[in-house]
Amino acid sequence: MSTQIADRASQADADVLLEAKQLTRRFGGLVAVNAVDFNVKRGEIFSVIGPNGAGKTTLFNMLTGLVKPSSGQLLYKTSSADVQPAFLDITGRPPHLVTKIGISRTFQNIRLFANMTAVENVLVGMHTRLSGNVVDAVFRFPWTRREETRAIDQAMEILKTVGLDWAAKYSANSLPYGDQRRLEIARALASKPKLLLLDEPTAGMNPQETATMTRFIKELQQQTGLTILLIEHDMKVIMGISDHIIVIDYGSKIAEGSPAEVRANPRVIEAYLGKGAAEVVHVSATPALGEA
Amino acid sequence: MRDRNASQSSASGAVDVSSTGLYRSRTEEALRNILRNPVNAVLLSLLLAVVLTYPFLDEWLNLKRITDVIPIMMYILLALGLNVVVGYAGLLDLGYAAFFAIGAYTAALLTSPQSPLNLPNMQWFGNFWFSMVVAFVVAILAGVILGAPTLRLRGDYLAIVTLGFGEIVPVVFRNATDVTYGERGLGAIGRPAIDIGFLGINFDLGGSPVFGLGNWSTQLPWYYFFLIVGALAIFGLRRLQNSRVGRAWMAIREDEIAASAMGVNLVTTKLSAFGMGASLSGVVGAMYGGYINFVHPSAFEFSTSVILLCAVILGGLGNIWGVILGGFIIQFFDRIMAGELTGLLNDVGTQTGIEFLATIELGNWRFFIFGAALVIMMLLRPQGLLPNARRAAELKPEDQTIQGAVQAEAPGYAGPGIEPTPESVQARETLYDVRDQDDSIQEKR
Repeated sequence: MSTQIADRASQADADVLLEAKQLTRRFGGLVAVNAVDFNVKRGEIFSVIGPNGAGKTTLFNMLTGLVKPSSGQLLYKTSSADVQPAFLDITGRPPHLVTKIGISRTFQNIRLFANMTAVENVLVGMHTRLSGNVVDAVFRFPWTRREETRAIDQAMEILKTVGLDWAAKYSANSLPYGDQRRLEIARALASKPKLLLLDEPTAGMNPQETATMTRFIKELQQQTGLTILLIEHDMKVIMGISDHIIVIDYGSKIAEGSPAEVRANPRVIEAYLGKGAAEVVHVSATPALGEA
Repeated sequence: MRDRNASQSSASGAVDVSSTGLYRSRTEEALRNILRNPVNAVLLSLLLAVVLTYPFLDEWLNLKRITDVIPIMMYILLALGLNVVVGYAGLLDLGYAAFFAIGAYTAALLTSPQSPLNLPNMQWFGNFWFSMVVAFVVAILAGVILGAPTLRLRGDYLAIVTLGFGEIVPVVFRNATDVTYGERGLGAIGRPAIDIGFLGINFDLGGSPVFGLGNWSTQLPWYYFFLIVGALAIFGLRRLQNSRVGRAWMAIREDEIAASAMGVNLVTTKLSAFGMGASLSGVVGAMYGGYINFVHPSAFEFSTSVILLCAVILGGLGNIWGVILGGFIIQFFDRIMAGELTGLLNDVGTQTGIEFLATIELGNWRFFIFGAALVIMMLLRPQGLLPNARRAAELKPEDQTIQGAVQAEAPGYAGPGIEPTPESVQARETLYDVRDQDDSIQEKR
C-alpha cells in the first residue's frame, strides 16, 4: 500500500491536484472514515468504491467542507504555476469557500433547488463567479446588466452541454429523474470547477441510462480536461471509465490501483462478496497486485 | 433533441435567452395573456386609474375612507418587506413588527420635541427626511443583529427566536421611560415637507397634526407619498428577486446544504435577507410615525406581526402581487368591511329580533375570522391566492411533471438519457474554451 502511494506521489508530484493525508472522521464511537490517504491527479477520473456504509459519502462531505474531518489534512493545489505555497490546506473549510477555489459536487440523493427553474439552478451554481450584491441588484448598473446577461448566456451554454437547454424555463422538480441528475451536473459545472465530485451519478438508473451517463462522464472528462472524483456502487461503471480507484471498507482504504489491479485484489472481492468467495476467486485469478 | 426544440418553440415560443424573457414570472406571463383580452385590459387600466386617483374619487363620491386606505397601504408595504424574509429566503419571522417599531421610534426620537435628543446643537433634528434615512439604516442594522444569532436555526426554532425578539422590542420601548416616555409615547413627530424655496413653493405634506387627520387636503399628499414609496418598493423588490442575491435567497429556501455547496455564503445571504426585509419596515415605521404623529409601544404588538404573516400567506408566499392582494384583503376587511358588515348585521338583527345579530361587533371577531380564513385557505388553496409559480408546484396534490407534456408534444422524446447530439457535443467542446479566455464573468469595476 505504501509503495503504491509513494510511487504515485513521486512520479507525479506536479500533477497532484488534491492530496488527502490520514483523513479521519468519527461520529461518536463510530469511525466513519479511518486514516485514508490518497492523491488525485490532474485530469484523471478517480473513483472511490466500497460497500454500503463504507464511508464514501462522509469522505466526499469532508472534501467539500460539509463535514469537518476529526483529524488529517486535505491539500489542494490552487494553481499549476510553481508558486509557493503551491498547496492550500483546505481541511475543514466552509463549503462555499471550497467551491470558490474550484471544487464542486453533486449529491447522491438529488438536491436541486426544486422550485427554481433549470437555468436558475445553473445560475446559482455560478454564484461564486458573479459579484452582484444587493445594491447592484436594485440599481442594476450597466456592469450588473452585462454580468447578468453574460451569466445567462453561459448558463444556457452549460445547459446545452448536458442537453437540457430546452428545459431552461421549467422548474427543476418538474423534470424527469435522469434530467434532474444531468441538471445537477450542469449546476456543478457552472462554478467552473477544477475538480468535479460526482456522488453516485447513476444511482437509481436503469442499465441503459447508466450506460449513457457513464459515456457522458467519460466524454465530459475528455473534452474538458476536468478532474473527476467519482463515488460509485456499480462496478461496471467504475471499471469502464476510471483511471485510478481506491476501495474503502469500514472506513479504511483496503486497496488502490488501476481498474485491473483492483478487480483482482482478494481483499476487494472479500469486501464485496464475502470471505469464501474471495478464496475461490483468489485461486482462479491472476496473482493480486497493488494491495497484496 | 431537435424534436423537443421544435415542439417547445411551437408551444410556448422559442426558449428566450434574454434576461427578461427567462425571468418573467408566470404571474406576469398570465397577466400579459389576460391583457390580450381587451375587456381585461380595460378593467386593469381602470384599477390602475382608481389607484392613481383614489383621493379625488374619495372626495368626489364622498366615501370618507381615505383615512382607512392609507393604513391599508402601510400594511401592504410592511407585508412586502416581510415577504423578503419569509417568502424569498424561507426564514419564518414572527417578530417582524419589531423592525416597524424600531423604524417608528428612530424617527420619533429624531424629530419629536419631547425626545432627549432634542438638543440645541443638533442640526438635523426635526427633519423628517433625515429621520427616515436614519430609520432605514437603523432597521437594516436591527435586522442584521437579530439575524446573527439565528443563523444556525431553522423552521420552528427560528420562529421562536424571532417571536422573542418581537416581544422584547416593544417591552424595551415601554420600559425605557426616560427616553421613550413609556406607554404615554412620543408625540409631535416630524412630518415631511418639500420646501423648494427659490420657487416659492412650500409643500407641506403633513399639514396640521392629529386634528387634521380627517381633513381630505391633508391626507392627499400622504396618499401619494405612500403610493410612491410603494411603487419604489415593488420596483426594487422585483429587481432583487431576479438577481444574484435573490437567487441565493431562494436557493437557501429550497436547500441550504446544496446552496452552500454551490458557493452561497449562508451567513451573509441570510443576513442580507433579514436586513433587506427590515429596511422596508424601517422606512414605513418612520412614515407611520409622521402620519399618525404619535408612537406608543402598543402599536407594535405580536398581533401586528401575525396579521402581516397572514397577509403574506393568504396572498401567496414569495409573490409580490399576491402579497399585495393578501395585505389588501386582510386590511380591507379589518378597517372597512368589518364596520360595514357590523352595521348591516345589527340592522338585520334589530329587525328580525335576533339578539345575537343585533349586538354583534365583527371587529371583536377579527382574529377568529382571520384564523378561520387561514384554515380554509390551507385546505382549499395552500399556495395562496396568487402563488409564486415555483412554490405552487411544491404544494400541488398531483405530480404534474412535464415529462408527459413533453412526450405528448414531442413524439421523438424517449425519456431521460444523455444521448449526445451534435449541438451538445459542440457546446461541451466550446464550454471550457470560452471560460479559459475569460476566466471570470465578473465585471471589472
